[in-house]
Amino acid sequence: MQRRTFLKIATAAAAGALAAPCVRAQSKKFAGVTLRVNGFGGAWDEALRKSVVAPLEEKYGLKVQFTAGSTSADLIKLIANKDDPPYDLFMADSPYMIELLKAGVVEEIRESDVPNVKRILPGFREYGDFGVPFAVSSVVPVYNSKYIKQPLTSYSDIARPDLAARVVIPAPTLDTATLYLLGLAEENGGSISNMEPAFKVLAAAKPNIVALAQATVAEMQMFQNEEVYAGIFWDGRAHELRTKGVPIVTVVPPNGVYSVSAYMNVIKRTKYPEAAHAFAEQLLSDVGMLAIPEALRYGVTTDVKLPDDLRKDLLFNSPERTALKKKIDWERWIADRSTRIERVNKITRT
Amino acid sequence: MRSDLIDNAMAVSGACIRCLVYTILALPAVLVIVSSFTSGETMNFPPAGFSLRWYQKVWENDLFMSALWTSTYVAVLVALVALVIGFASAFAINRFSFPGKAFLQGLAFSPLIVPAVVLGIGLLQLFAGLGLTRTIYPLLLGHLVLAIPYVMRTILASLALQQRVLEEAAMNLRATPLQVIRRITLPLILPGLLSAAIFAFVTSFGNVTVSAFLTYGGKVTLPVQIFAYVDTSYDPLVAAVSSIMILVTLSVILTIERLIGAERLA
Repeated sequence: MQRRTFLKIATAAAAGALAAPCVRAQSKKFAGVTLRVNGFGGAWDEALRKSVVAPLEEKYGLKVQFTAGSTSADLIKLIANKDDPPYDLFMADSPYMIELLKAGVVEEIRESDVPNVKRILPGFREYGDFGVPFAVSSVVPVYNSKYIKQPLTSYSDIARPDLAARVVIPAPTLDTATLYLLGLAEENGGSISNMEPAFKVLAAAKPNIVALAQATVAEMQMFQNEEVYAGIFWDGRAHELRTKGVPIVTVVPPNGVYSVSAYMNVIKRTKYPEAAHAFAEQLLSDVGMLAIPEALRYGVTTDVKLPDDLRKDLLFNSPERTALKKKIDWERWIADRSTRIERVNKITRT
Repeated sequence: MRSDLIDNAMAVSGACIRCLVYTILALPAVLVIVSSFTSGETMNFPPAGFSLRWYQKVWENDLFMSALWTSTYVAVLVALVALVIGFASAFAINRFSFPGKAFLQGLAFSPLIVPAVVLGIGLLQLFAGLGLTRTIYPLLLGHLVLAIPYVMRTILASLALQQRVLEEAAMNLRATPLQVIRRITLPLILPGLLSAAIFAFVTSFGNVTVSAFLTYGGKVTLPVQIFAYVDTSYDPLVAAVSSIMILVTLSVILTIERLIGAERLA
């Protein structure tokens, strides 16, 4: 061995030996840290554990604790304890973001802290720098192809006469699932500030409506037991029905699709902002982003490349489809809640 | 002859109505339990095949098992504390006249009137102000508030039916008030106390609404865990967990029934 080569190898080995503890410390820089996140429960949390938490634990030694509960109760818990928050990260759907922002309990998430923010698709981040959307669920018309031979094509088709006594719609108290009303309005010349066309279609659909589903599970069971043949449902849940052998077809209305995004927020006064940002970064990475679509077939919010088997099952699976996602004025939608509930109840119960 | 016919008809219709009522009461639980033994992937009735796989999954699921433990020990604590508070209050109301007695009675039953959501939010605000939301106390107190009306009502009924001459005889024989309570009153109303304990346990063990606001330090009760689970997943795991909940509740009731007898518990 030449003297020069020997010196090179020896220097490299010494440098490696000296740097090893630093490298190890860097790789496990969140060892001993546990982030607390409100959970959505079931398969949702499980998917995040597998594709977001497990890689972070392996890479940084970071642990994450999900606490299952209802988002509304968790939100109240967070606001009541804002000086000593019970969570470091908070998952919430689009409408809950308004309350989070009003309460001033969440931090902005900037590209400088979470570089993968730049991968979020245009129009998917509805609240400026607050929160990162990581899944999108759409409320769409669906039907059972075993019984309905003429396909539904729009939200307004729930009023078709051939669907008499076979339609289920979500209860008006469910803020996100009732987005179909906005679909009914906009398909018939209305808007969020003029919902009358929607109520007219709903009145026409009244003979078809056999149930106002109070929960997703209840609606799921109605489709599974073939008590109803058509209705308005979540795209991911429609896919779940298909996996259980129910021939449910998801309709993609050509005038637009109404969706809700799930956001991850970093809570103010968290002791571990850097760890929270690492979580958000992993969530928006390729592996993290595919977690929810793979488990539940809800849509992605970044430019992640969809595997072929996943693409065929997702509603937003191409730029053309993604362009159908309608922008929603959530503040207005929530503000009109009482009026909406009253009108729907009046139409369906009288 | 005519009255015999009417009596028979009444007896038969009574039996039919009883059967119907018992069936309606038991049917949901029976359906859930039967569905939990399915070997398939979906919760259906009748189930596809027989398997214990979903029970095995529950056993292996840390979230559900820790939630079951949390629910059980909170319910046991609530039953014990509610019994002490409920007995003391019921005894005072039954045996003494004092200013504000009617108000105390009304106050004790008020949690039955206030919606559970309101109660949950109120307690959350209170404990947030006290800085105690990361402890077991909010959950314990929330469940206690819900359980005490049932406990008090049951013990009050037992005390009202009790023969006070026995207590008076004991006092004539120079027993101290504490001895009278310990040796005479408590043994006489034991079935009522145990019924009250069952009410308290069941009220706490099955509560979702108040618990959703008061879960602490990452610990979640079983009904809240189930509620969150079904929001995103709908598989027989839920049926298996629910069956375990039913089993725990039934075990408590049957154990007490075996100890003191059903007819005394009624």
